[in-house]
Amino acid sequence: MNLVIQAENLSKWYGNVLGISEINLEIPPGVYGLLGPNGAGKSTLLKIMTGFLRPNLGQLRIFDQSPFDNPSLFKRIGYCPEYDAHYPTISGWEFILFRAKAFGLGETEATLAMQAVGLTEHMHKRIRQFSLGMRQRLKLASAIVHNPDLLILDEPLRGIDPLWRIKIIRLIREFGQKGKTVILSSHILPEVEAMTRQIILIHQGKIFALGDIDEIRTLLDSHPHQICVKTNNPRRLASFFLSDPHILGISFSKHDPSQVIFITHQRDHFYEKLLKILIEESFDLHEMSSPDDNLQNVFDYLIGRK
Amino acid sequence: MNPLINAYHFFSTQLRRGKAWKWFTLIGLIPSIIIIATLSFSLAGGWGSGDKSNIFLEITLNYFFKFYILLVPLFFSTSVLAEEIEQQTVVYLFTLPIDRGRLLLTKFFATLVHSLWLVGASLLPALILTNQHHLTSFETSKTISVIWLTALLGTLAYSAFSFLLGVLLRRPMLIGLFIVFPWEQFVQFMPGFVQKLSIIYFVKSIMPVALPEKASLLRLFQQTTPAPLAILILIGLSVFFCWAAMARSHKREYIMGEQ
Amino acid sequence: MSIREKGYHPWSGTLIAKPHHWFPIVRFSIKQIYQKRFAKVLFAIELIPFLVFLFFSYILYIANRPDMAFVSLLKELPAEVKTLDYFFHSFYCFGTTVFFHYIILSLFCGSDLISADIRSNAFPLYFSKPLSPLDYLLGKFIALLFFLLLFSLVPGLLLLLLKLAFSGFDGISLRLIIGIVAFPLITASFMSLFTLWVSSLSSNSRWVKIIFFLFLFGLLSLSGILTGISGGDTRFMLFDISTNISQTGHFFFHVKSNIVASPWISVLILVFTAGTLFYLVARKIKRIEV
Repeated sequence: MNLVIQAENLSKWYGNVLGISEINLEIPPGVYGLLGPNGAGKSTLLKIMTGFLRPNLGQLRIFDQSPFDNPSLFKRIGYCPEYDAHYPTISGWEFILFRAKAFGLGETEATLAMQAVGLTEHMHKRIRQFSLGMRQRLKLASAIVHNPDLLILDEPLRGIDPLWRIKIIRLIREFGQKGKTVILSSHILPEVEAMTRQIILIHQGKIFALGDIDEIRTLLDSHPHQICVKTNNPRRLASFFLSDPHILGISFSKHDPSQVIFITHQRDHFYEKLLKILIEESFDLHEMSSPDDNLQNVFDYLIGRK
Repeated sequence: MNPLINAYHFFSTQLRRGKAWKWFTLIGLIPSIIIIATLSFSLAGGWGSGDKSNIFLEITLNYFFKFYILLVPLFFSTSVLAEEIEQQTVVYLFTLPIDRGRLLLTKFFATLVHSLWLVGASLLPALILTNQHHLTSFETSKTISVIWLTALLGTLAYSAFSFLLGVLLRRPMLIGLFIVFPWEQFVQFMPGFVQKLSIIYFVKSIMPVALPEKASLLRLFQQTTPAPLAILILIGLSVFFCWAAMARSHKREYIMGEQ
Repeated sequence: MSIREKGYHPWSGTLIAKPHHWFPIVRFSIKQIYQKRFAKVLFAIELIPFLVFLFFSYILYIANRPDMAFVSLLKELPAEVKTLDYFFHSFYCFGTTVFFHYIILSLFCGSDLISADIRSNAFPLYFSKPLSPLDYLLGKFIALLFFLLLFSLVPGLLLLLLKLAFSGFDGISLRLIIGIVAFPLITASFMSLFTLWVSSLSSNSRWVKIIFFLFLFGLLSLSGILTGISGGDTRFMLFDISTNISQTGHFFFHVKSNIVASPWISVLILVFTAGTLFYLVARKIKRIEV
């Protein structure tokens, strides 16, 4: 298998603060979502991948080369940073053209990149006149102008309007379908879900899970979920679930008499049954929520497993 | 197009469009404006009608050699890397397939050209106005040319030093201001070899006229190096500072958001 | 109208009425400055003039002792030099020591006090609380003034206390005490407001430092140029900030000055300029859109 990224016992710390610790990764071509809460180590890992930091221990190789102080490797890497950083006095076109020419390309490639992100109409404006979403798209254009083999995107959809979100998601998926590699970092699960099934979960500087998103979901599903339902007759609703073997517990809120809390490890089964009962028995549904259905919980469970 | 030439044009465009360029041009023209205003005032009968060439020369030399050629390189050349880090645009440069040191050196060249232009274009009219009555004399023209070229050489040396400061330090401007201004003044009071630990010493060695010094203590320890040697040393120092800056840029790590 | 005046009350209770709303800003700014890298090193260096003059105060004590008259070197000193006025004037103004230290401290502590807030767009955070622009400005001003006075007024008072301990109230007059207190207060207030004004001009920290230096050395150059052109008229030196600070020292410590203009003019210049700068900064902050 052709590996694009290989990390072996990769560790990085800043004085007494740990960035990442003993990370081992082997990433073949494809689209991967790098997920983790704030401070998990995503940025540190990306900075090592893009050659801004050197690991304290271990090594990282991209296309079998170290990225630190290796400019020739960047012919094959495109990077879209998280920061809203720009050159205020130049136009979007001048910026992309500079990048294109630095890669030995010309106006054709620069034009294609601007078209891909929908900035041709505004390309001669100064970047300081761009909106946040336009600046974000410009960053993406600068990352893809040279058609790299590896695209590293840090929060690529930040500040982008819903219409362009769909287009960019499609762009990223198409990139992956061409056999290229995309690593996109985010702490928003739905964004990543829209672009890829492959997830790298990072927390407290360590890789906690690596694989298909459904596998991660299954990990989640094998642990009890809490689901809160607010209805006009909670006790009657609860009675329909008393004999259900998938329901591990039922409780009623002390503060809100209309709320009932179900605990189950078969969410999909529960939702299916609940929907059926709500319709057949004409319950009024006021609200439904799952307080622990989030990424943090995945990590909590995974930490518990560790 | 060669990527470095492309980069040079890119950086040059930014410099020309920036506010700093316009403000420093204005600041550089202050001595010329003052001289023209004084001459006009004198013509109108104020402040006596005598030859004020000596005063104008003192103003010009003090202004440029103790202030302007220190400030301009300090601002532009420390910002070669510092500005990119502060703006967080260093990511766009260091993810190019161009050697970091060479890219920074290219940006340094762009700032150097602009600094030399600022100094040269501001100093020349001031020198011409100062010596307006003696311009036809060969000696005067030669002196003006040497002073002008010395200022450019001093600008080169200060620019290279500031470039190195910008790569080495997190706050190059603050530390640069305290090294360049007080140190360059203070070290001239020192006897022996210590004086040579400054750029101004070699600049003074090349100058055809002495820089005006108020403190008589300075004359006590005044010494010079032969002009050709001083020129070589200034060029050598500039090359060394640039090389050191390039070498350091390779080793340095960049934690984005550092100020 | 600020939230405070509208009678805003938080959900859990009423606001405690405190008169000094600027105090949290003072406290926070002082803490921020103290935590800067190299702050402690810089403050240690700033103590050097005080330590040097601590030594000189002992020399002055010996010089004024009649039974120490056998020390021939001290006998040679002019009588004027052996006075407390000259001593404190030297401490504050010798070689523009105070001015030089004011520059270092102002740049280090104060150059990004307002520019950093502009850069990070922190004003909505400040003014969404019951703080007025005046509270904000007062807080920043007092924070910077604290550090400037810490290395000017406080050492001056300590030297005075040392003199009291050495030789009692001999030579100490009310005028001297007023001078020891008023000189650093006026000059430090001026430098604080000047620094805050420069800091409010740009969000770019490099520009702020450059503008700061441009004003200081530019005015010095201009005053020198005008003095030269006018054939040595020293009144033009009043364009220079360091000259005005030095003249203020001449005024408070009754030491003869080389400048033709009366020293009290410099006091007025500093006070008037400080007031103008305060007005300019306050106006700029009030105009910031939140």
